[in-house]
Amino acid sequence: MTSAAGTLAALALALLLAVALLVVLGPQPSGALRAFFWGPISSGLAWGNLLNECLLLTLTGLGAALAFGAGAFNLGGEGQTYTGGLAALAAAVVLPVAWGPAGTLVALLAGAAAGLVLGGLSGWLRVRFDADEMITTFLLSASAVPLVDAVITGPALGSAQSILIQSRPAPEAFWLPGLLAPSNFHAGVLIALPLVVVFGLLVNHTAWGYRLRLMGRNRDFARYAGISTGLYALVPLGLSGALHGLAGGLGVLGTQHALVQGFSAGWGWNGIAVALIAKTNPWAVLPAALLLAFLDQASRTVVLQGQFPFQLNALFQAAILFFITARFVVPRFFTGRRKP
Amino acid sequence: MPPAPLVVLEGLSKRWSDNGVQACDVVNLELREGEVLALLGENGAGKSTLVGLLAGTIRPDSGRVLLDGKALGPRDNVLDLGIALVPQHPPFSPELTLWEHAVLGDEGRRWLGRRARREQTTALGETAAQWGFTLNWNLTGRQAGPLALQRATLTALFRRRPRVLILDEPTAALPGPEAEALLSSVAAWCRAAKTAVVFITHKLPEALAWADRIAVMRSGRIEAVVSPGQTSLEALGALLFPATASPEPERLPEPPADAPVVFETRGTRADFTIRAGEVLGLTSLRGEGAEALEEELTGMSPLPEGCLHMDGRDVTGHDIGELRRRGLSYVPSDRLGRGSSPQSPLASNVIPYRVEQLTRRGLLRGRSVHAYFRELKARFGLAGEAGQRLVTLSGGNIQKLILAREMELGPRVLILAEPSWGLDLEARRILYGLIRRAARQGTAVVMLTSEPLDLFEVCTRIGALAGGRLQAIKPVAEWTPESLGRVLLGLS
Repeated sequence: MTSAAGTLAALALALLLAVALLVVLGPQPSGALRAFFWGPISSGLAWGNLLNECLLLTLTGLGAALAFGAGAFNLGGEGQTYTGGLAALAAAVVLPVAWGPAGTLVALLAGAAAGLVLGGLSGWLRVRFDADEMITTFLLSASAVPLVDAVITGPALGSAQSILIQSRPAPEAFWLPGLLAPSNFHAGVLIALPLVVVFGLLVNHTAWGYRLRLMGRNRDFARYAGISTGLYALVPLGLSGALHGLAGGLGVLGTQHALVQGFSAGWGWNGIAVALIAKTNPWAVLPAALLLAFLDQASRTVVLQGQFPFQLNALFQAAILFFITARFVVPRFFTGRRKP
Repeated sequence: MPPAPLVVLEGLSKRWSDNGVQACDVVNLELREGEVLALLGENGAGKSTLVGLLAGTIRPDSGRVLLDGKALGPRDNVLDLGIALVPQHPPFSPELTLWEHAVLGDEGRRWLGRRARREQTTALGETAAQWGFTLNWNLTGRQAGPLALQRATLTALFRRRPRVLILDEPTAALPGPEAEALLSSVAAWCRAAKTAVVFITHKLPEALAWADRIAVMRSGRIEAVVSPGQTSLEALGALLFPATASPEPERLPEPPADAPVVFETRGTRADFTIRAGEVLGLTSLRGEGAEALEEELTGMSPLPEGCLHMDGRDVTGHDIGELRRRGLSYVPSDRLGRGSSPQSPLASNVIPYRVEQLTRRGLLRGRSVHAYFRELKARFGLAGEAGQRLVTLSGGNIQKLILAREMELGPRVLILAEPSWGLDLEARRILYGLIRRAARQGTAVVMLTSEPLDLFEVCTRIGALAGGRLQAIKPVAEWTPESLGRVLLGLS
């Protein structure tokens, strides 16, 4: 399995770069290294935060993997997640508090629906106008983000004195029960894990999933084989958007309990990295998400320790994304065009 | 003593690694100043490869090109040294205008402002007028058709005073009088400028009328070099389409007269009916109409005119999915791009039409998929294992797998496009056996092919297209390679 070895090599390179930066730049390399490798798993709180991030990345990664697996590049994960968060919050604010857990589910479905609409719109543009979904998902997402920002800072603004720019909180009745308190981890895991199983079976072990993968591998072959390629472009993009939207909803109702400006920063993009590490296989999404969540939490711990500037975290993320995407995206572009 | 040749091709060989075709096999050829050489050959004879080797766009496996006695190296800019190639379909940028295309690579250090642009277009226009055509140089690549692009390329390259000018099928898309005008100016201007010309053509009268020498290629070799005065249409035709002395092939019986008509086209440029158990071969020279049938008969692109009937039902405008449900199977000429998923395992490549049957209680189980693959492997003698990626197979084995997948359904109609491309003799023998097997089981087989062997080995009837239309359709016994060649060349 040379491709698996290549993935590991790319990750090892990224990790090596991180370690090198810690050693070269830090005044106390040993402390930094310890914080990096031990920090994310040193306490219940750390574990909780790690698992919370893993949970969200699992959903966005699953969404990205589903679209990539069908050969549709969904680059709009950020906006779909963010919009999903807003929709979930709006539903939570509107619904009567007496609904309790049922209201939580409805609010999460509203978040998923918002993502579904955004992703599905790109799918529809692909089917109807043959518009490249790589462009439309990105642009729709890029325009959704400022709109959501406008709602947060406008009608939905919470306290003007708060350090974070955030909306009014969602009613406490709809919060997802926390796990491993006081960490951010919550009962959303009971939704995310079954979804991994559902999509793992759907993609790898059904006729529908077979056609979807065929689309991803060779769209011309899929069309030649009589598969309705339009449907198989529309549905994965819609579902991909829905999973991102759900992640946004869980972020609001499980983690933040309000819509914090920029709360989804990075989840959409990191979801892409997760999908690429997992090679678009839903079964591999969970370990890939755990790995990326660990790297993110590790660099955050190092930053919090005070030795390094805040930007280090972004630098690590960039390094990881760079090595992973160089490994996967570049071959895709170079082998995608065969001479006739 | 004759003057030293301008260009010498010395033992040029090229084998394409992706399909294993020996496109050029130790080719030796000389070109002299101011001479016009016509290059003839069937499709796939290696003509385009040979001119690509000469123009430096293709690297030879062995052999070399000498210009003025000096060998060209891989780093030489062959165009600057004076060898210019006008491809049949010149590469272009949709955004750049024709005059920008023309100055590309020859911009110098001038500022390409409005004045330079006016000067350039005027100069280009004058050259074009010498050649007998006018062009709007301000059209973009997207707006200009292939013909205008070809003419613009020709004009631009000629202005660079090449020593060798190569034209790849310059007249393929031209009506008779225009083709004649183009070739007469090429001949006149290049003789005056002492430029050697090589032009590829499928039209024998052109070669006879305008060339000083005619080279005939077959299977990657130069079969003969003749001068027009010493040959005739018939002699050239015989060189191109030799009477093959192959052993009498195993003949399929004509289907009984009451066999049902399965597939039919009406009011199209190639009308035919085909009954169950027949193998109909349709052929043409490249660009003369048979290739486009692959898209039109299979629902991959709409029929430009007329209608399509399957089992007596009008299926015009149905897409390939609908036609497949009615019992159409199709083996495409593009086997890796369209006919398979090269990076997927063999098992994934054989089950697209069987996924529903292989699904039990909603789940597609690996075990049943593998069992199905093994069954198919045994029935058709396939190579490889279920989990192996398709690209790891040889071209012949890939084709066999595609054929098995399409035939296994017991189709009403099987459409084969260039089924023997890149196959060696043994693989062809297997292919022909499979086609006969399908026909005996009552499948109507339509084969679109440019390969004479395909036609005469397995077909019960042969139809020949020329100029985009079906010219003749007859039982195979009423054809000879020579008579077929004459129809294809438009000689009868």
